[in-house]
Amino acid sequence: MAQKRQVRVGSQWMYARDAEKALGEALRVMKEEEEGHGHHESFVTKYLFSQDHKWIGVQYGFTALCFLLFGFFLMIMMRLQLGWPNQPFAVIKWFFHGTGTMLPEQYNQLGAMHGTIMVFLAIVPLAVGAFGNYVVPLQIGAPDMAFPKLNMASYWCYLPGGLVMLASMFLLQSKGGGAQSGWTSYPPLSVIASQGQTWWLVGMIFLITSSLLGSVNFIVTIIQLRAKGMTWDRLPFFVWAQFVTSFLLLLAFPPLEAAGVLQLMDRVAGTSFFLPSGLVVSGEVLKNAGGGNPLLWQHLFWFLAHPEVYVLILPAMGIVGEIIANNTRKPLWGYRVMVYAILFLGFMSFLVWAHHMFLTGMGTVISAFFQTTTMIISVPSVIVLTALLLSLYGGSIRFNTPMLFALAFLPMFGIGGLTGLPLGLASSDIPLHDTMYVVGHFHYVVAPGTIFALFAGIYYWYPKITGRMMNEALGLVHFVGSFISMNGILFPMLILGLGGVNRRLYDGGMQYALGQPLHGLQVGMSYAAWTLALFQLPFIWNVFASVKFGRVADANPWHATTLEWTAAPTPPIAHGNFETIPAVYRPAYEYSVPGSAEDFVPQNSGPV
Amino acid sequence: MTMKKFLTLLCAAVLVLAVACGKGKEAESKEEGEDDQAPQTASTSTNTPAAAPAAAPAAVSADAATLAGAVKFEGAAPKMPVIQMGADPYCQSQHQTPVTDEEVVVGPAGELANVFVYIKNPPAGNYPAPAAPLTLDQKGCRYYPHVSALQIGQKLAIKNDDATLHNVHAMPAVNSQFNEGQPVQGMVAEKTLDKPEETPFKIKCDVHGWMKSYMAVMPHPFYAVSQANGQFTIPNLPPGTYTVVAWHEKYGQQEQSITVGPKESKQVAFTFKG
Repeated sequence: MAQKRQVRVGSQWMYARDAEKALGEALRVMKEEEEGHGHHESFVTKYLFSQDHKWIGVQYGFTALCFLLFGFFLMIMMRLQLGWPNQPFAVIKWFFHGTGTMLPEQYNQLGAMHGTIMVFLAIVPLAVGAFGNYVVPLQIGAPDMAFPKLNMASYWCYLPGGLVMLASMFLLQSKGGGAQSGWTSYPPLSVIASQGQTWWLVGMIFLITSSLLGSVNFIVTIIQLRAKGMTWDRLPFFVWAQFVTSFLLLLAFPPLEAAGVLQLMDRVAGTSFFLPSGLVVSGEVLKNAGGGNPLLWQHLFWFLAHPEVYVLILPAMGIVGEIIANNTRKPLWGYRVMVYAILFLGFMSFLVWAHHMFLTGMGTVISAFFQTTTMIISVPSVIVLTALLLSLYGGSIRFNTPMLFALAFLPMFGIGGLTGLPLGLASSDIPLHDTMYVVGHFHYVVAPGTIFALFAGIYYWYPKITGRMMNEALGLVHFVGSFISMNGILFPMLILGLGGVNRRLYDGGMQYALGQPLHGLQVGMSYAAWTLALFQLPFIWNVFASVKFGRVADANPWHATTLEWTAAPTPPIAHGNFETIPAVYRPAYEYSVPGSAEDFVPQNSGPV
Repeated sequence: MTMKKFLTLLCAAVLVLAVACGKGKEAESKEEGEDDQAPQTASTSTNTPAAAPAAAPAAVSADAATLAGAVKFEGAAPKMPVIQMGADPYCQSQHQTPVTDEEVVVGPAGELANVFVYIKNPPAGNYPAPAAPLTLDQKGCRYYPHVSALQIGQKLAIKNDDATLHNVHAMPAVNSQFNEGQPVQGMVAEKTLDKPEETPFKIKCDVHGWMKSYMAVMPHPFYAVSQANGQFTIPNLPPGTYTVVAWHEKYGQQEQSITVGPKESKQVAFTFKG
């Protein structure tokens, strides 16, 4: 067979296909080196429209952190209203140009935009756009992403999408304000809502396009650009997590993009994809074509949005896996099982969406199917969490800041997951549906779950990006304060929900007798929110100040095994990452190998 | 309608440019309202001297006539249903006796209230908007007045006198719709309607389904609403021949042609049949 024939390159024999690859790579590196002399990138191509995966990662990271802060600020305003309903506040007056008393429709805007910004503009871009972009090519030994221009386009779809969302809040206050229909945008209310919803849909279409471009790029990069010897079972767990995540994005987002366009048509072109005939709005029969189905949107939305939950959590698991292996100085316990678990998790995540819709009258047969798949999908999550926990056993754990956040992820995600079980069963979901319990549940998954993992990732990879360490003392303050106050906000949500307080109530349930005795919790949660805000200040200072004042880091300050630490300089070379493309000889987490001189053996450490 | 929405879409697409230029021009808020402000009711009630065409043009002709009249109802007045306010205990607590719907309000001698009367072909002229706002009050979970009109450019002050959440949902066909919550007692929302809309549109509360009010936006001051005794008055009308329209929310509208002479006090009568 032709591909079995070997050719000689220098002193080495290799398969013709490999030689061709090597030649292509050599030509590219030579060309880059030639360009490197005397060729200077302009500010625009270097910093604005960069095609370097690392800078795009930094762009994503910075933008997403700004959105994270803005989403947090929206939450702060919501907590003002929930703690002290209808009291005027200067910040509310400033933001909405009103009297300072928050109106119900303004609260709805905050809720909708907080959700949208946190999910689509902060966490996914940070977890996938920033960490994925920066770390994946380095960890697999690739000089860049497979399609650098596509990568750039992905960021430049994300940013306009985000700006459209933001602008809708700031520019439309005299026309009904920004989007008010939740991050789920359920019709028919979203179709008849004020102009802000149209902007929301346009923003979403940008964001979805961005994710699709990114996911194609990740998949091709991970399949095609792995360094020699980086076999599938040597891939770092983080890369596996990003790989599965990319498939989820690629397969789940197109239905929502289509649905978003359909809803946009319902709003601007007079179609009725999601509007039924004879719909009565405020006592008037709506003059629309009719024949549409609001439930169709819910199916299309959740077909995306449940996999989206795993898009939020898988990269977090990946980060935590890296950090736990590094700081326990042990290989990950059950690496292969973890990989199989997340592959299965990815597959199953497409079969559970309708557990968000138990109360829509789907019927018991469909409900039974989806509650069964939902119970099944909890198995791989438990496997991953158990494997991470068992990885701790017997390790000589280093309690540095990334490790603290990674360790906190485990029980927090555990609470998030366990509180989800009653929601996954149709009968127990009936009383809990749309209560604050649900809000508590998914915030436990995403806030002290994913966001803590993202913090861990920032502290962990910061030295690789900047060449300096973040301050450990400030990190400890950030961690302890965040951990306590985050629970102070979220745990009472579970209690409120069990007490029957619905979510999305602009007065936190004070209009209902059952909400009034629980109001003290709302006040306490608000104080916890201010505390959480306070404890982010050391982090913000740490991120900026450490660039200049942080302790200088060498190429591998954590004594890690994966290629980004062991093969790439700090910071990695602007275009191409490595001095020479590394070859991989061993699994990802060869820590504490008996007989080796040090307690870690890099992946690219050649066979002795 | 569709074209307008398409333009909205187009605007959103060029928005990035606008934001990048840093010229995010904030549309001026018209929502400012002073909590303790209690604007004079300049509704169209005809019996009070300060009423309706307090908004008359600055220079009233010395020859100006007055159009007065009465609206009658012929036939058996329909029995209005009692409003069930139990859904909101606050609303229920504000009424000692049962409250009935205001769709058809007929007096003992057949006087029909809440009929909006206006001149369809007003004399040419510039009619500045009155300075005093028209107040639409929400009290006891009802709108006061039930039928009203204001002039283009005149401020509309919507006040919540109730210690419960109201939601003011205006559904004009020509002017921009608005839909705003008022959670706090004493809140006032100020609005300006800038296009003529002579057929009154509905304003309703989305929280309390029974709360309805009708409002017209007039380009001139020659309008009135019949009171409980069926009477209405349109003063300061220059001599001429006019078409007078009477509109009722249930029984539709009627027209009459009248001619008024200088300083004449003209009487006109409308009768709606059940």
